[in-house]
Amino acid sequence: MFDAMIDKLAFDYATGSLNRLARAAFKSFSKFNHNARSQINFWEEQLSPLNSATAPRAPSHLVWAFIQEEIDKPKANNANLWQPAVAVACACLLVAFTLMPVLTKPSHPAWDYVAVMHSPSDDLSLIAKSRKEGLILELEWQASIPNGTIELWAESKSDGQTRSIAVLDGRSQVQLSDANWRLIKDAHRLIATIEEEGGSATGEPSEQWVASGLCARLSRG
Amino acid sequence: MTDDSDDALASLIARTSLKDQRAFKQLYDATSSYLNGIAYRILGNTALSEEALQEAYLQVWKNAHSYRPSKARAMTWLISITRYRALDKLAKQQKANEHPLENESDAIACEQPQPEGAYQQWQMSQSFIRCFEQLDSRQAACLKMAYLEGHSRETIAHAMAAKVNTVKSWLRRAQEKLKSCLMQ
Repeated sequence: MFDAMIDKLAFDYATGSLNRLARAAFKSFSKFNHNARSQINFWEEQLSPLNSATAPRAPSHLVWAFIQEEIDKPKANNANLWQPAVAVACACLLVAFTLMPVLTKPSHPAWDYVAVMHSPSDDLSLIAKSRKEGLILELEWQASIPNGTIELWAESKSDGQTRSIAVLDGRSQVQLSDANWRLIKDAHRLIATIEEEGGSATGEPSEQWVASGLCARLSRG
Repeated sequence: MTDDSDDALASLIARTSLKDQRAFKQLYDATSSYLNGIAYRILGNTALSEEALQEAYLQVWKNAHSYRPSKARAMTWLISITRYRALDKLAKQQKANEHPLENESDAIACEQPQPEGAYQQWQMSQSFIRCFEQLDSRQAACLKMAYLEGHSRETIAHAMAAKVNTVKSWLRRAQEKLKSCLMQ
């Protein structure tokens, strides 16, 4: 009975026929009720093809200009607060340039691929970044690291197979082999699972996945 | 809409969640005309639809990290954000102004879609077409008026010369028929 009511409200929410207050209330409710959230997702997905006949309308170039201004705002607003820090940074840069012949360590090149990975409960869990130069995979846990041996897997775009990249062993940086780099290049998705100590004995991921996310290419060319 | 193009959008959203402005601009270029068309259909006014569009993209910029590819296709997520911003704007506008919105729809009805930078038209899934075609004509009309144009049940009732409860009932039956058909 309760589920049927949620389904009705989710349909009304997705069609837009709830009034503003009711929509806000149901949205808040859906944050704590998995069924409500999944019914909203269901109807949003199902109804979206109704938009197929809608003609595109190129917005004015001012729209992007406004958006650009808004996303740049925090930097501009904090300019005064940052002035002392900028002065210190400039001084540091000066010292760094003076010591340049000594400090020959190259700066890190940009990342080539990134996967923003979520836990089964949908929390942002892990960001995995990799770059070709140096064959480095860097892992930034956004939540507490789960207990146990974590193994990272790449699900291939080409053949759909899931192959191991590395057993993490608590490391935040992994040196990749050429073969593993190719796995990342071809990855549709990265998955982290909990495995036996030392990694999966079968060469396949366990069902205890802790994070998963699409692998996106950052660099061009 | 192919899986590949939706994956490309999902990748751009993932990069946007890392505050990659170039990816965000690519996302905007790929989708803004399409989403603006959707907002315009609800608001019927260029200035308001562009305001809704701005708000939608700012929400995307702030909340890109909350997008879950496992829960929704990227385009569905973007459409939903835009529609709800447009519906909010419509409700605010109607509350603030007793007069109905000046609707430009008639004036621009003959305008051609602008293909440059426009996102490719959403391909209606075959199963949805099949199910939607099974709806009674009044149920289908109600659903389109609510979903595409943001009309309240009261407005739909007025337009269709029916009672509000009748419209509620048509929408409810549309929901039941669609769900039953889509689950088959």
